[in-house]
Amino acid sequence: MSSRGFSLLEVLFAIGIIAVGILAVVSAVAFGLRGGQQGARVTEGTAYARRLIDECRSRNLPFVAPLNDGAAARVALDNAPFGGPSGMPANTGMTRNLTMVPLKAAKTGAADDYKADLAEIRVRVYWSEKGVEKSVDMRALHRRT
Amino acid sequence: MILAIFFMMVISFMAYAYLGLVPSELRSANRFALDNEGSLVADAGIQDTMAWLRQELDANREPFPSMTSASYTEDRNGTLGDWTWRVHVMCEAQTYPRGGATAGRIYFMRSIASYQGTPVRQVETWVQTGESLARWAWLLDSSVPNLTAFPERFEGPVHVNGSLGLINLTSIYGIGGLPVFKSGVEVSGVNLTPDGVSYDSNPYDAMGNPIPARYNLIYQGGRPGLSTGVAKVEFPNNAAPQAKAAWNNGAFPTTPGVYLNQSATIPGTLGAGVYIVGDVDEMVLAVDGGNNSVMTVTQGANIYSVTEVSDTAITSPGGTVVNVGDTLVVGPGATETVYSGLPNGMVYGTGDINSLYGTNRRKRTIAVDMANDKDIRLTHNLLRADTTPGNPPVGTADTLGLVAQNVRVADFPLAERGNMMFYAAILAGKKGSTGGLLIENTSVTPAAYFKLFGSHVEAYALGKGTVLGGATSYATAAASGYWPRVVYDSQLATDPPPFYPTSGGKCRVISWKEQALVQ
Repeated sequence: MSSRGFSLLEVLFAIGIIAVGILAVVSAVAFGLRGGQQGARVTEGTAYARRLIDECRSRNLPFVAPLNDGAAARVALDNAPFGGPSGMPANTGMTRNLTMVPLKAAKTGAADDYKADLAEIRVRVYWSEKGVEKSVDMRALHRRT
Repeated sequence: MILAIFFMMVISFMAYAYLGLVPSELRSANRFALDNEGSLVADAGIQDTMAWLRQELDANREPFPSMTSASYTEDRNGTLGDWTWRVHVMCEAQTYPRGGATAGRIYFMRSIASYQGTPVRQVETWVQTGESLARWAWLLDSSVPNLTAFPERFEGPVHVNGSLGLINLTSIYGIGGLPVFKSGVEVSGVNLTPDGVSYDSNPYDAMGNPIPARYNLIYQGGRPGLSTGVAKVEFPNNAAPQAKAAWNNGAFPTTPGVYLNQSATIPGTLGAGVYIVGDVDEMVLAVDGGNNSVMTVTQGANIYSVTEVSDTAITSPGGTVVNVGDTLVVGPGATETVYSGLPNGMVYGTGDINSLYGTNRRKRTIAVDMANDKDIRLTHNLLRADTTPGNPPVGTADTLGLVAQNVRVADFPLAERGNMMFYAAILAGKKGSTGGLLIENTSVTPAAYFKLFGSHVEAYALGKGTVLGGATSYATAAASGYWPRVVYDSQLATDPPPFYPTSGGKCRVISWKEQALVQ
């Protein structure tokens, strides 16, 4: 029984097929890594936003020292007054934009006066992915306790 | 070739499976974000409702006036960004509307946060209003710009309606140990500092960032232990509710003396407490051999004794047998009156009580006409029957409350100064006044400490004496005067003296349950 090897064409064809498979895997892995990274950043950004809101509320900042970053401002998470050893972490690659707005400026004797004891806190946490800015946006209502 | 196709299929299958897994990771991250947003929106509904409830209650507009009223409900709606919240609120039918003998009313709230019409998160909470002011270890209605952080120590919750300034902190930072405030501190006034409180030695850096090592020595739990800019706790303007509780119905007596009012519906039965007209020279609280309360009131030549026969039947001096559950009053000229029933615990005086001491039995609040600046003066120890002197209270059976414009601590006999103690929840000073816990002689030497087992509420922080500069020991810090050491009785928060003033509409969360609604 005579035996013969693979022709060059067959080998090239087989390599081509395997290459397509490997490419699919490589691109899937790359996509997966990117998706995983995105998910991690969303989770991280959400946790930071929530922590910033909690800090603002526990310190009663809307009624003590309201912070309002400008509309286009991107401020480091650990900027004062959230820095220090027990504050927000430094060098996270994320920035914040924070606003605190009372629902009513002052009590006027009206039925909705209670809103003067409420303030909306809005925190946006930003990061960059391949040059594209991404963010999470969270709002809370703080009551003068 | 066949092998190549086989492996390609295997690899492709793995890639497909992987691709299927990846989006779920991103989805879960987005779900986490959505859940957090929903949680804050549901919370927003609760915050809005609590603010509204406080406004209504402080204006004496009880939204749910009935006691049996699960049918009295209210629904509230609002938005926060792209989200909406809806709150269902109702009162707890087993708690009284404001003005009852029992402090506090409880409300139930359910808040649902929805995103684009889909419910995402739900919060159910119970909040309490009308809390007893006795829940504070120290509650102050004014500012205190230079509270000496040493040797003062505060063992329970503290609230200051004005602003707060702390001095002598260098000693605290140097000595270390337990924090000055061993429980939470709330301050309504705000100084222009990073945290709203002024310090002679700051616990934050030049940028305003907290220095935990310092904060931990001032507040329990460090910086989070302090809340500034919070709503005030309303003080009473007078003791009129206490007067009403002591007399209950009909016109108040006007002739000096001690009065117990009969029930309007059941003659011969006590309908209220003890009402005293005129100044009292001496009020002595005591316990007889049968564990019954005996209160002796001296007004000039007139002496009254009120025996609440709660534990053991007695025979009166005139030979009358007084059964358990009845009250014997012996007045001037040995006149005896036996009432069916026991007083409700409220003792009200229209004048000053110039000397109060003894051992209290049964829950009681002693109040005087605060609106007309009447005082209560403590001349010897004030103890309670259910507690060994010197020990913290272990129950609430014999709780005592004092309500006056000033509660004055007189010069104690020298022999008693080493062991001064008062078991009481003290409220001194009407709203906006300068009444307080007052040391009559702040120059008295040798200086002494008195232990106040209970709580300490005052309109104004009055000087207690002088402190030695550079002292490093609590025991030797006072140079003159009597310094209070408040041993906070946390039981007063839930079981205060009867008819003790409350905090109005201020809400406190007592239960919180949160759950996701999207499956």
